[in-house]
Amino acid sequence: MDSKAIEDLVAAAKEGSHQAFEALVRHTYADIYTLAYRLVGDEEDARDVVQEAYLRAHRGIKKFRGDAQFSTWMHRITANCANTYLGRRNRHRHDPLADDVDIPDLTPHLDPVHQADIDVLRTQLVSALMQLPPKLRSVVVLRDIYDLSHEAIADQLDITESAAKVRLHRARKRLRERLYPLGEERADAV
Amino acid sequence: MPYKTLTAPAGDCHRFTAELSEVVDGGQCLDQSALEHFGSCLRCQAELAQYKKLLRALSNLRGQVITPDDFLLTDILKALDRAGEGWRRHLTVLGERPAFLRGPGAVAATAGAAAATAGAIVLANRLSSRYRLTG
Ligand SMILES: [Zn+2]
Repeated sequence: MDSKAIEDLVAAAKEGSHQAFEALVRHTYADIYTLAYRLVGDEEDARDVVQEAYLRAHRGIKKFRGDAQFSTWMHRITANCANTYLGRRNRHRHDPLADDVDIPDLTPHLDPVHQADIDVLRTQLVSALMQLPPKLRSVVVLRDIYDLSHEAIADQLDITESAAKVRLHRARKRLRERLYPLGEERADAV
Repeated sequence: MPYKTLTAPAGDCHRFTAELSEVVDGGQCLDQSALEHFGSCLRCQAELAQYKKLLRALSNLRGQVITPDDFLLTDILKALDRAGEGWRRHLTVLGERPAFLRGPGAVAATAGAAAATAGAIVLANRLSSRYRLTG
């Protein structure tokens, strides 16, 4: 579906066409599910987040100004829903939401120099992402995969922009350290 | 003239390593001493290269879509049904069968599974009318 077709559907949905909104759902739901899964790290929770996101989108479609793409707008809504969901989940479970949680290193053997296969790296990256605490993961997913601005991320996660940046850099650092462990080299060199 | 090393003193890295992840974003906020360090330190440059690879790999994940099972679409539409009066009344033909009705045997399998769920009747009504109209 090209961007003009999506714009037309959005315009129709804003006029109250459920048919157009359903077409938008059909076109975007796999992408939105992927984002939700990456944010909450659980299939069932991701399904709930996706449903909530489309409910909110349907309620708010008239307010969608069209200065961003529909997909970007949905990403923001999904981020907000996931954040709310994680907050609720954290009150019921005891998720490792703290930034300073210890992440067990499950891949001490990883050496990207010898495992240049990009699929391997991707698998390791996805695994490393999923092991980040949700607070850190959310920011790096939204910024570095979905290209949301710091401002948008801060807005949807209800944190300050500087907090978003701090989390982003922490998340990147952890991912880098897991994927390209340099610690020993650096220690030897000192 | 003092001998100029290509690699900055290793001890200095710790002062700047936290900022490397910013450098990869453009590093507009870096002060002169950090810029000078990164310009001459091979270790930090190696880390910077890793950050760049990491960001490329993350960006490439954008193209990877996790395919949800076919019931997710049904669930979303059901949630919209429940939430909004009028949504169901206005549902009309989209010229496309739901994904879970495509392929041999999918109708029976879906019907069997759907019958076990609480919203089966609503769903079946909606789908059968759409299916008929689409037909
Ligand atoms: Zn250095």
